[in-house]
Amino acid sequence: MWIQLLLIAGVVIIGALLMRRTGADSHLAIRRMLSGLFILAAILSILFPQWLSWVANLVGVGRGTDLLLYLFIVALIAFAVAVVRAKARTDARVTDLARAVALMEARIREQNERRDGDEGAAP
Amino acid sequence: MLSSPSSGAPQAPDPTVWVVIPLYNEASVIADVIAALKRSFLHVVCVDDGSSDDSAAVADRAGAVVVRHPVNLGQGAALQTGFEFALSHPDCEFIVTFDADGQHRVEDAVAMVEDARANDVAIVFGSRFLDDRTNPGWLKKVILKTAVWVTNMSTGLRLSDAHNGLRVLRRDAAMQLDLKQDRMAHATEIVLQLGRTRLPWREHAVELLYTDYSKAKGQSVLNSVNILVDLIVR
Repeated sequence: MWIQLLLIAGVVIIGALLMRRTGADSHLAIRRMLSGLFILAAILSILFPQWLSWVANLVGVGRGTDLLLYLFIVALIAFAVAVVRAKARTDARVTDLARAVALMEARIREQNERRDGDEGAAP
Repeated sequence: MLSSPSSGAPQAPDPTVWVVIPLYNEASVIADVIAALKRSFLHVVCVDDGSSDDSAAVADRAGAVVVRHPVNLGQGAALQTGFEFALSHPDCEFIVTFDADGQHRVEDAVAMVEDARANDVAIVFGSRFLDDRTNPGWLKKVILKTAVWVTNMSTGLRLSDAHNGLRVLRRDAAMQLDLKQDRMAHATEIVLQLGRTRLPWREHAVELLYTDYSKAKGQSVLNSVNILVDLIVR
């Protein structure tokens, strides 16, 4: 079926993007392994939807699509938490950076004023 | 500096105290606040928190040292920047935190520094509820008293007023501060961190001048919801 082809192509492209190196990467290897697992599971589910229903029945869920929805919601919340935490870390870094800039500027101005004061007093 | 004509005179501005004012869009009132402070204190530092009006320029002309945040970070961040700037000067013995909107009286700040010196206390909190000079109105009083209750619950200190911007911190107390709450919850965070220093503290009765200007600027009811949630959700 065409939809399976399209979905598999989409999953492979997104998975490849997820595996790319993005500068500061402390958990790159872990992310790559998880991405690989995700691609594998996604392709299997697309090709053999009955496999998903079998797993759903195993954990007491009626249909594979329901299981997919539940997993999707959990993944979405996890994503939101990760984004909020990342933003908090970024905010803290911006604060430190802005403070360093403000203090440096004030210190330079103080030094200039002191020098101007000395020059004014010397002659 | 030492040979300035006013030094030695009984009314000379105190050179060991650094007044830290978080400044954000207060251009219309800040000049008067600084002028009044400069009569009693030699060092007045305004931390301009990325104001969009000309607050920083006005403060500079009024004789304050202006430390300028390149972007708006919040009042807590401004206070922390002010502390670090003041502490970078070895002659700084006391830091006074003072609001930019003109609600505080300079006489109260002077009396609090004297109180800290005379009684060897490291921290003096200004409180508007120790006497009945200040009348904030019933709604604001309920909000403020709730804030006091939350603060006391989470800090273990027994204060009568929580969100009062007038405080005196001795050098050793200020050095132990590291405010992480950029926005308004810093008022509780500062009490929490000061409480952990185990340094001697006391409250000092102050009067808050509720001008129409400060009333219009004051914290709204919704903002107190934010403060509560900020404290619980980190």
